[in-house]
Amino acid sequence: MNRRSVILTAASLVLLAALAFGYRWFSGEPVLIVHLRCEADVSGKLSVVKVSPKSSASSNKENAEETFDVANVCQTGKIAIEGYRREEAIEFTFVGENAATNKVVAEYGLDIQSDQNEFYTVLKIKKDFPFIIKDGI
Amino acid sequence: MPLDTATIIRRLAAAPAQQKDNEAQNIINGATTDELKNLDAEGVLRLFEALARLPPRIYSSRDAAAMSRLRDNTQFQPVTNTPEYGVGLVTGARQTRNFPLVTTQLVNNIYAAERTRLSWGERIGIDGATIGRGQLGQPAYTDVKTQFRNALEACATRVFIAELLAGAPDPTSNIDFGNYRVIVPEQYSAVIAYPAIEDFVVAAYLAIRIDRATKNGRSPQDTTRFAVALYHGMNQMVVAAQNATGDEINWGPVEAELRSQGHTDEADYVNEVVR
Repeated sequence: MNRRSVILTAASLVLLAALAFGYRWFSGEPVLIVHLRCEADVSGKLSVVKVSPKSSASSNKENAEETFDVANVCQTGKIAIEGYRREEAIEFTFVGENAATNKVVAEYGLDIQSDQNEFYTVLKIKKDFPFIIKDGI
Repeated sequence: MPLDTATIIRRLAAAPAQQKDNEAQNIINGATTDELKNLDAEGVLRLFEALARLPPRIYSSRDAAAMSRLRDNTQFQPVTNTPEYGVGLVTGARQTRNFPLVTTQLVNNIYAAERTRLSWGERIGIDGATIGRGQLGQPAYTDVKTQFRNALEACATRVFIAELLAGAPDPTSNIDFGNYRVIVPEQYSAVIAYPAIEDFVVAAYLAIRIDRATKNGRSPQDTTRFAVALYHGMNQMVVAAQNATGDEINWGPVEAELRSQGHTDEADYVNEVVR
C-alpha cells in the first residue's frame, strides 16, 4: 500500500465517522426516560399518553396511548418514551389485576426534568392504592 | 418633579425633529445624579436614541459629553463582581426551594470541575452540545429562560445597556429600539460571550437542580450533591445506584455504589464541586 492509498483510506474513515456521527446527531429523537421504582411482585398495566400544552400548535392532536405490562417494565426499571416534546405533560394510568385504577399527570418542570441529553421523570409503583406516585431523584 | 421615563417621553416628543439630541442633552445635564441613577431601561434607551440615533445623526461633542454623564451615573454599570452578581439575582428571586444553597463557591467549583474535564476538541474550541465554562446546553438555558425570565431579563438589561453606553454612539445588536428593551438571547451560544450572563444562567440552573433534588429527610449538603450530579447529566446512573442500594435519600450509599459500578470520575466530580 503506497502513501497515497494510506492517506485516502484514512480520509475515507474520517469522513465515514463524521457522517455516522452527524446522522446520529441529527436524527436522534428526544426521549423521555420514566424511571420506575416498583414494589416487589407488583402487576397490572400502565398506560402512558402525552398531553400537549394548551398553548402549542399540536394541542388539538390526539396523542397515541402506549400500554406496558407492569411486571415487565418494572424488571427493566424504566420506560423510554420516544418523540417527547418539551413542555408536554404525561398522563399515567395504572390498572391493577382487580381492575382497580388510578391516574396521575406528570408535568414538565415540576415532575419531568430535562437533562443535558434527554428528559426524565420518576414514578413509584405500588401494589396498594394509590398504585402510582410521582417521585424525584 | 423628579425625572422619570414619562417626562423624558413627553419632553423628547415636544422637541422639533432636528433638535431631539439637544433636548436629550438638556434632560441629562439638568438631572441630578440620583435621578439619572433611578432611570429605568426605557428612559436610558430613549436618551441614547435621541443623542446617537435620531436624525440628523450628527454626534457632537456636546452629545458625547451628555452620553458620558449618562453612562457614569446610570444604574446600568458594567458588572465587575461576577459570579456574585448572578448568584445574587438568583437567590434574590427566591423562586426555588433551598435557593440559599446556590453560592459563588458552588458556581466557581462547577467551572473548575468542568475545566479539568474538557476534551481535546473542546480545549481548541470544537464544542459539543454543551458549551461555555459551565458546559451547559440549550435545554438547560431554555429551562432557565422559563423559570427565571424576569431575573434573566434584569441581568441582560444591565449587561447590554452597559455595553451600549460604553460603545456609544455605535448601537449594539442586543437592543430593541422599537420597544426600548434589551433582547434576551434565544440561543445559549449567544450568552457565553457575556460572562456575567453566563454566570447567572449557571447559578439559575443550579438553583433549578437544587429545587428538584430537594426531598423530605435529605440534608442540605446531600441535596446539593444530588443537584450537582443532575447538573452533570448523571440521572440514569444515580437512579440505578439508588435502586441498587434501596436508599433514595442519602448521597453516601449512592456514591459508594457509583464507585463500585466504575463511575469514579462522576463521583469525583460531585466531591470536587461540593466540598
